[in-house]
Amino acid sequence: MNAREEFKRVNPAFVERYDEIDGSDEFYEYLGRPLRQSVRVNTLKGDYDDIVSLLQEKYRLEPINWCKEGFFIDAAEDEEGSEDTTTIGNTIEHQLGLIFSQEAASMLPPVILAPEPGELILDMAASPGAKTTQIAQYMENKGCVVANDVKWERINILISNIQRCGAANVVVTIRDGRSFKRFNSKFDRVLLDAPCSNVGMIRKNFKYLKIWNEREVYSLSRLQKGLIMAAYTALKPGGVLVYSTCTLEPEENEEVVDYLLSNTNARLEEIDLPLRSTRPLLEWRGKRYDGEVKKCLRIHPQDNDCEAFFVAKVVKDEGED
Amino acid sequence: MKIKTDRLEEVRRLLKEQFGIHELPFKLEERGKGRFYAFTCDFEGSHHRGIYFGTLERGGFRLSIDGAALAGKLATKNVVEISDKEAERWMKGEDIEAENVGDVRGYVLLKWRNFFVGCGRRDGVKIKNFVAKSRRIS
Repeated sequence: MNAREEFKRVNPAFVERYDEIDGSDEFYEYLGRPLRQSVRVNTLKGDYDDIVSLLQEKYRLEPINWCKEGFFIDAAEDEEGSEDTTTIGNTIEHQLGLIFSQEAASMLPPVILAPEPGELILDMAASPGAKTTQIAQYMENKGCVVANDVKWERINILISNIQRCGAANVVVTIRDGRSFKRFNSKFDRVLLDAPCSNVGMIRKNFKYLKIWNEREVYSLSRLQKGLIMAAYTALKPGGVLVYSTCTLEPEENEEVVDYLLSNTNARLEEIDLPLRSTRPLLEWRGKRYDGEVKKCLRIHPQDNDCEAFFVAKVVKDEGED
Repeated sequence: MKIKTDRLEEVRRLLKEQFGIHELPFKLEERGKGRFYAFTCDFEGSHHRGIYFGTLERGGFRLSIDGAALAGKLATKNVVEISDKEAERWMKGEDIEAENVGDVRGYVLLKWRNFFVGCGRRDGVKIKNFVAKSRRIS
């Protein structure tokens, strides 16, 4: 049975839809493959060269082209409930916070956000904190990262990752991200790594394929539109907003960005990084999107053999308050 | 408020006395049971800020594993360098001997290669381990 047939057996509605988005054999084949293990070197806990040398003594590292601190690594993967003592989670490097186990594509949003030391940054949907701690690292523990999450049950893991990474410049808040609209023009940069239908996560766990349904996509799209409008309002004029998801649904990606462009003076910037991507959709099921949407980064699993991802870089109009 | 300020002063004095740390590039605050947190900023309605830095004990100030990493590079005394083997034992939660360090007693910072791996208490023979279970390797 080929990969497409296997996907169809598990969730026929998913295949029916994704045949319209990317029906290639390669797409299903890569979406069915386990992800390559990757880590980010945490320079808040040590010198970059020292940590890389230490890792090279034990592992084979392959640099991730779009993130200087990122490496594919030939270590055993951490699985829930596993007692395997050779996994990344049981290494001295992990426990000291010298490295953070993080999927290669998820290193993109902080790289594109490019925070500077001393700035005020909002990470609107922060848990479990991979991107938060990456942002704190780029800020050299100076300035302030407001790491927010709406769910109480996700806060402990966020705080424990902030602790392990030594990110002293992070403040944790628990609120609905949409409520940040009241902080009008407050933040230098905002990251909205939005809650999504997690199609990219299928490579990590097949349960995301089993639970996927189209109704949820529409519901998430409505939520994401509310979140992106609040994120944009909270941003200073001239500031940068990065919108990202780990799904490939047009309603959760291009349509959300199109919604922002239609309702504000926001402009999109090209993302120039050394990686392969798939052309964003400018039309979907009868809806035409703003031509600017072509500047977004749509990454299918076969493009770089990593998680499926979508990223947009938005700049707030200087005259917009 | 006065008591809180006094305890902060006590921590600063101990950091200077124990490790030769004169100034910290972040703020400290106590959040109960002698636990001190390091932070650089705050935001309206925050639930948590910064990281757990260390605990004020009867015998001195004990830095957390992450507090040691944060403040270690500022330390000018009582830094004990340990080997790969000792670092592994330390991270397994074991006390270590670290014999060739002279007559150092009290709290010491442990340095493995160029990384700080925590803070222990040396009684002249052994360095007592305080690595939390959740941060140990097996």
